[in-house]
Amino acid sequence: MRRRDYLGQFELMVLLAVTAIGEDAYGVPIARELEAATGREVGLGSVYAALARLQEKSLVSSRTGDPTPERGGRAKQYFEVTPDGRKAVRDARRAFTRLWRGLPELKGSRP
Amino acid sequence: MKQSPVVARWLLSRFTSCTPAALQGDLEEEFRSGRSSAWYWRQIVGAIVAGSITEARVHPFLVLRALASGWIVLLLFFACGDVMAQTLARYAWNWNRSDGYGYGVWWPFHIAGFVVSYVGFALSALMIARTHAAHAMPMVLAYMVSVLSVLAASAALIEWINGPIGVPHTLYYFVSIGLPFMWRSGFVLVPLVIFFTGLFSCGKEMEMTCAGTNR
Repeated sequence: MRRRDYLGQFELMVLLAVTAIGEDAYGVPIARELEAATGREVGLGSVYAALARLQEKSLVSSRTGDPTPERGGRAKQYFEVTPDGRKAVRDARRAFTRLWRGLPELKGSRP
Repeated sequence: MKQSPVVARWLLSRFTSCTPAALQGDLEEEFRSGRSSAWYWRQIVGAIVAGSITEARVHPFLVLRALASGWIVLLLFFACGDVMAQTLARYAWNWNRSDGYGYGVWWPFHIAGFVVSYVGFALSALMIARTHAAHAMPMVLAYMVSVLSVLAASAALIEWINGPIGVPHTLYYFVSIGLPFMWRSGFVLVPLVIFFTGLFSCGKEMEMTCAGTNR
C-alpha cells in the first residue's frame, strides 16, 4: 500500500460517519456523529482536515449547498462516499475482522 | 442574534484564509445553536493547528522555502548585529566596548543585543509573511517551531557543556536569549514576536489570493 493511500484511524472514522449519515453529511452532523461514538469533543477543523485528505485520495466527493443566514451567509459543503471510499471501508472492515479473530481473548473484555 | 467572538473569527481568517467557507459556516451554526464562547475558541485553535498542519503537508516546498528564507534573513541580520548593538549602546548610554573590557560594564550592550535579537526575529517573520501571501501564517508558524526547536537545542547544549564556550558573534544574538542571563526570555518572547509580527503583516494579500475560494 502506498503511503498516500493509507487510511488513518480518524480518517476511517470520518469515512464511516459520512457513510452512516448519508445525504445530509456536512461538517456539523459528521462531528456530532463522531462525538456520539467516541464520547469526546471533536474539532471541526480536524474533521475538515480529514475530509480534505479523503478527498485528495478520492474516497469522498463534495458539493456545495445554498448559503443560509444562520450560518452567517455561508454555504454547507456536503460530502458523499465515492465507490473507492466504499471499497476502502470494506477493505478496512475485512482487515480489522481478520486481526480481531486472531486475537486471544482480552483480559477484562467480558463483563 | 448571538454573535461569535470577533477576535476569534478574525484570527481564523488570518491563519486560514483559504479555510473552507463551510467550516466557518459550521462554526457559526453551532455557536448560534447554543455552544459557548469557550467551545468556539477551542474550535478556532483546533482549526488553526489542523489547518496549518494540512497546509504544511500539502505545500512542503513552500515550507522549505519559508524556513530557508527566514533563517537566511535572520542570520544575515545577526551578522550585522555587533555593529547595530554597539551603535545603539553608544547612542543610548554612551557605552563603548572598552567600558566592557575595562570596567566590566556590559549591561548597555546586553540591552542593545536584546533589542537587536528581537528585531531580527520580527524582521524574518515579516519577510516570510510578506512573501508567502495565501499561506503566510502556516509558514510563519512552521518557522516559529523551527526557531524554538533550534533555540531549545542550542540552550540545552550550552548548559550541558557547562563551561566557557566560544560562540560566533552572529550566533550570540540567537542563543543569548535562551540563556539564564537573559532570563530565557526567548522561549516566551520569540514565539510572541514571530506570531504577532506574522499576524499583523500578512493580511491583504491573503484575502485577495483566497477571495472566492471554497477549498
